Amino acid sequence: MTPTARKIHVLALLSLGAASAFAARPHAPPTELQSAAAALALAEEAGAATYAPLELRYAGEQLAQAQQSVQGGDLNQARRLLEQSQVNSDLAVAKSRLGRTREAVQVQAATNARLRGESSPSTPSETP
Amino acid sequence: MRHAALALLSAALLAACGSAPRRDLDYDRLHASLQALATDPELAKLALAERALAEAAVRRLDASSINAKEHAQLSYLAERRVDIAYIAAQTERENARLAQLQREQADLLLAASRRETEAARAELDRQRRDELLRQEEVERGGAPAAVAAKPSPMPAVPAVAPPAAALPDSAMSGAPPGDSAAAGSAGNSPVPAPTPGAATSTVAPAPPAAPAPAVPAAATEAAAADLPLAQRLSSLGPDADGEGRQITLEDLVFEPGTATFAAGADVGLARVAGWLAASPALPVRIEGHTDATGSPEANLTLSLRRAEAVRDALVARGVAAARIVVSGEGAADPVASNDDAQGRARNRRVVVRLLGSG
Repeated sequence: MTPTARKIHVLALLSLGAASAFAARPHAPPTELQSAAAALALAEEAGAATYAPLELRYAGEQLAQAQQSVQGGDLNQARRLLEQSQVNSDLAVAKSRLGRTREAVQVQAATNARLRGESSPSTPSETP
Repeated sequence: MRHAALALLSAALLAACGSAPRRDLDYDRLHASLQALATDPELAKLALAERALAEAAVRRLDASSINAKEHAQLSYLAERRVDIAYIAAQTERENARLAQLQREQADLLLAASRRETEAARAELDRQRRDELLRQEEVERGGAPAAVAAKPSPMPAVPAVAPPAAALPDSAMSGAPPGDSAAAGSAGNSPVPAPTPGAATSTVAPAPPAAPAPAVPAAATEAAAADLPLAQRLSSLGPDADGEGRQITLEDLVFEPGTATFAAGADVGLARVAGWLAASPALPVRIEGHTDATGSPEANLTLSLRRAEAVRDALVARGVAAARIVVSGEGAADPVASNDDAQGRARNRRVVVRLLGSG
């Protein structure tokens, strides 16, 4: 696991803890916090550390800042940060899926080219 | 201090008022981007859910209040939603391309599998042909029971009656059909049984000291070996070193391991019949020979059957059956080494020999 990913893991756990800690408080955004943390975890699973490291880092930082804002009582700022974290996680997931798919296309194209190369030497002998 | 705060508030309000055109710019840019996505021929019908989210985010930006902070937030979110819509559409397009490549791979594998199957089938056919040839060899070496009781491998076998098809020819030549002096000794022959009751023979027993078959010229054989059988047989004539008194039929006039004539053998048989017709008064001896492969009994049987087959064919072409004696020599009289294929091929032969001094 890369340092960035480990850091994001810690941030996600912290945010989940914060979500449960603030559950009893009035006006706390536990739902948004959990949702943003889940989106971040999904981005990690999708391989965002490889395919969208910038968006993944933004999402993690924004989630941590949102937690601080909640602790500071600035729930509006926390909600804004959580929205940004969420959308950055979603963007990271999308980029990761595109990257994986493009890699699969390249591998498949190479495989097909190899198969065509293997079959082509016998073609002239079939039609002399 | 209060004045300073008022001044700051005024500046913020002015900034907010000044941000109105910029908000429109952001909206216009993102809206145009979404429009481009919606009209893209490749992407327009892809990732519709993500595009709907992006359109909603852009609409929120359009309807947002004048609050600069809120506008910046909505613009931030809408910009990323538009990016996500584009990326999701591209992902779907790549997925479609991947599926097409996978189908193409399946087709390629299927074609390769078909080629392998055809190659395997061809190999099986080749192996089956080889196996048939081996079986013929085995049959030559594994069917000695019929001749196991034969007293001697060497005696000349007097002619048996010609097959029914040859009777008219025999009658025309003046020789009574089915005249065999020693039908019993030829009982192992697979040719049709002699005509009952025809015991008299005009054929003298084979001379005891028949000349040994002459060795054909190896060089001539080698040069002729590449020609088709019928073409080689068309020039068939008396052996050069047989004093003009014998003709050797090569083994290729027969199917391998059998006494069945191969296609093209008719040419050679006609040549032999014509040659014999030039000396109608002389007795004829037909000797079958094999190589040393297989058991001696089986080789004797095969050589006799081949000699008889040649006799039957000659009788069918007008040679009097009464003139002919046949014998199966087996591998006892080789004209070449049995150690190599070429020598064995030369040893497998049928020799048609004119007897007497005529």
